[in-house]
Amino acid sequence: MLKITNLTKKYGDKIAIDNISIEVKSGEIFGFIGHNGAGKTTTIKCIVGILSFEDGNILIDADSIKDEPIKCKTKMAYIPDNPDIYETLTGIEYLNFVSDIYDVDKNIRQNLIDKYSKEFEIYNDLDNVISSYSHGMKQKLVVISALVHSPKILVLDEPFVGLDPKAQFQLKEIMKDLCNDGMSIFFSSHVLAVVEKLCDKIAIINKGKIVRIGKIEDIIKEGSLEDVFMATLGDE
Amino acid sequence: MSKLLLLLKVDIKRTFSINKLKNRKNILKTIGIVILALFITTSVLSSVGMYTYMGINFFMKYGLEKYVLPIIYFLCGFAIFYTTIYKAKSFLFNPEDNIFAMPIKPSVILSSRIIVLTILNYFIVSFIFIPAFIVYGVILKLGMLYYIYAFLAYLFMPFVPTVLGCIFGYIIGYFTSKVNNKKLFETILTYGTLLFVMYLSFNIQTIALKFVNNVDIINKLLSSVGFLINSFMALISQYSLKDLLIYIFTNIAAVVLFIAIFKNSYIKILQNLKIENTKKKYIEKEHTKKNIITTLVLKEIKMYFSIPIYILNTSFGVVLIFFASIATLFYDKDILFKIMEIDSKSLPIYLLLIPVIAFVIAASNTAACSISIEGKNFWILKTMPIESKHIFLSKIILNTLVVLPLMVVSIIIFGISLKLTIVQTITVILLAIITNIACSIFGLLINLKYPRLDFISYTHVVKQSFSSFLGIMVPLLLFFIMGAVYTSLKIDIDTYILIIFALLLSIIMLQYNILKRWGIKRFDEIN
Repeated sequence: MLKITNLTKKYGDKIAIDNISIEVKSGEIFGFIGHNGAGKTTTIKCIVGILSFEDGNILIDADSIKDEPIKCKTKMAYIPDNPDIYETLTGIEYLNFVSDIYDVDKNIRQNLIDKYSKEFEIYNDLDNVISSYSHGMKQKLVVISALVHSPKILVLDEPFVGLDPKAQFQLKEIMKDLCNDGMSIFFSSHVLAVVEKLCDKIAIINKGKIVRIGKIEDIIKEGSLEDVFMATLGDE
Repeated sequence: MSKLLLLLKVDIKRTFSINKLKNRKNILKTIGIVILALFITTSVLSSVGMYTYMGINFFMKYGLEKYVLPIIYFLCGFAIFYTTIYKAKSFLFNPEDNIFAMPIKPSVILSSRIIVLTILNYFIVSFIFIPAFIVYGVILKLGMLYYIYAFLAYLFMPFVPTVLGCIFGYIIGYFTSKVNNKKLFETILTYGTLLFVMYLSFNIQTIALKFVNNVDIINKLLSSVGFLINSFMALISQYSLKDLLIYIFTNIAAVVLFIAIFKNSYIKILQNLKIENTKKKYIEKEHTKKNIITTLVLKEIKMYFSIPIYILNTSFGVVLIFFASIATLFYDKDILFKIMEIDSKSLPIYLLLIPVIAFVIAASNTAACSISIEGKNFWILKTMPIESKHIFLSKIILNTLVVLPLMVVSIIIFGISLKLTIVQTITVILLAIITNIACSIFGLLINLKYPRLDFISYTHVVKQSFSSFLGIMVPLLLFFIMGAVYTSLKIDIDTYILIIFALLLSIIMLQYNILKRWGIKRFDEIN
C-alpha cells in the first residue's frame, strides 16, 4: 500500500533523510520512532506531498506521489502533529469542506460525521467556530476529517498529542478496526508503549537513516521497545 | 530591569525581523529592498515637505502660519493613535502570547510592549514631523533655538497618542469580545472611522476656511481642551522653557500612568478578551454536495470575511468608488476630481474615469496575499487532492468577487450621472474586467514568489508584506506609465484604448503561461 524506496531529502547541503526504504502492506500498522529532529516529520511530509524530495520514490497503492500526486492524495489522509486548521470556520463547515474536496457522498458523510463526532464527544460543538475549540478538540476534528473520506492509508504525525486518555483509547481502537478492514496506517510517536502494543512493524530513524526496521514481535524479543530503542540509538 | 532589557531585545528582534534581515543571503534582493525603501522614504518625505509648504503659504495669507505646526502635530498624533489601535490588538492585547507563562511581571511585559510600540511610532513621527519642521523653519527663517525645541518636541511626541491608541485598542477589543459577530463589528467600526477620516480630508479646504474664520473660538478651544497642543504651540513659537518642561512631563507621565494603572489588571484584561462566544447544541442540517471550485471559493469567501484587516485593505477603494458614484448622482462630478486631487478643467470625465477605476482595482488586490493568508493552514491545501490550478482559480475568483460586482455597478452609475454613451460605459466595464484579471494573476504570481506563511498577525501579511506591496505598486506604476505615454504622445483616445486592451490581454496571456508553468511548480515548493 505504501512503498518508500531510497528516499533522500536535502535542505540545502544538509541531508535530512538519507536513502530510506520502508514498505507498509494493506492492513498493517507501521510505527515510526526516533529522537526529535531525526527525520520523522520530514519523511511524513514527503509521503503526504507537502515536501518534494531529491531522490527515491514513494508509491501509494502503486501510484507515485511525484508523478500522480492527486491520485495518491485521494487515497490518503494526513493528521499533522499540530492541529492548525481554518479557525474561522465552524467544525461542521470544516468537515463538509473536507468531504466536498474528497467528493464524499452526502449520506456517507452524514453517517461518518455523526459516528466519529459522537465517539470523540464533539458532536454538540460542531456548530461552534474552531477558534473556540481547545487543542484536544481541534485534534479530534482533524482526526474526524481524516476518517470522513475513508482513505486507504492513514499517515499520522504524533497523533496522540493533545488527546485526552479516553480519546487516545478510542483512536487506538479505531486504528485497529480500520486496519482489520484493510486500511494501512503509518504513524510517528514518542510514546513507545503505544507503538509496542499497536504496531505490526516499526522503524527506528536516527539522523535521517533507518537504523532498525522489522516486525514488532522480532524486535521486542531482545527486550521492551524502550530498551531496544535506547540500545539501538546508544550504538549509533 | 535586566528582564525588561532582555524582553525588549526579543520584542524588537521579533517586531523588526532583525534576524531575518541579518541572515539574508540574497544580496540582489537586499539591494532591491534597500533601493525600494529609499524610494519610499524620499517620496514620503518630499510629499510631506510639499504639503507643509502649501499649508504655510495658505495660512500665511491670513497671518495664521503659527497654526501649521500644531495642525501637523495633531495629524501626526492622529496617525499614531489610529495605527496603534491595530498594533495594540495583536501586540499588546494578544491573549495567546506564551510570554505570560514566564516568570516576568506583567508590568515588565507591558513596559516592553509600550516601548516597542513607541519605537514603531517613531517611524510615523519621523516621516511627518521632521520634513514639516525643516520646511517650516526654512521658510520662516527661524534660528537654532527653534530646531532644538522642535527636536525635543519630536522626541516626546509619540508618547501620548501611543497610550491613547492602546486604550482605544483595548476598548474595541473588549466590546468586540462581547458581541456575537466580532468580525463584522470590528469591520463596521473601522469602516466608519475611515469613512469619517475620508470625509474630513475631502472637505479639508472647507474646514480650513472655517478654521480661518473662527480662529478665536479655536484658540479658546485649544487653551481649554487641547492642553498638550497648546503647550506644544507655546514651546515651538515662544521657546518657553516652562511649556517645554510641561510638555515633556505630560508625555512621560502618560506612559508611566498607563503602566501603573494597567499593570495590575493586565492579565485580567487579556483573559476578558479571550472569552469566546459558543452557540448552543449542534442541530443537524442537510448539506448539499459541492464541486471542488465552489468548495474552494466558499472557503476563500469565509476566510476573507472573517479577517477585518483583509476586508478593509482590499475593499475600501471599491466601497469608496461606489459612494463616489452615488455622490455624483446628487452632487456634481467634482467628487471624482477631489479623489484624484487634480484640476477638473484639465481632462474630460470619460478619460478620467479609466485611471480612477484602474487605480482602485490595483489597490484592491486580494490575490497578492492570498497564498500567505493560508499561514499555518497551508498544509491542508498541500495534502488534499486538489490541483494547484483550482486553488489559483479560487483565489482569482475571490478577487473578482470582491472588486467587480460593486465596481460594475459604480461604473453604470457613473455612466448615468456623467452622461457617458453606452459604448463608453461598456468600454470602461470591459477595461475594469480585464484589468482585474491582469491584477489578480499578477498578485498571485508575486505572492507565490514571496509567500509569508509564518506571520504573527494578519496585519503583517495583509498590510506589511513585500508581496502585498509589490502586488499593488507594480500595476500602479504600469498604469502611471500608460497615462504618461498617452499624455506625451497625444494619440487618439479610441486608438489608445484599443492599444491598452491589446496590451492588457497580452499581459494576461503572458501571466497565465507563467502561472501554468512556473506557478504550479513554485506552489509545490512552498511549505
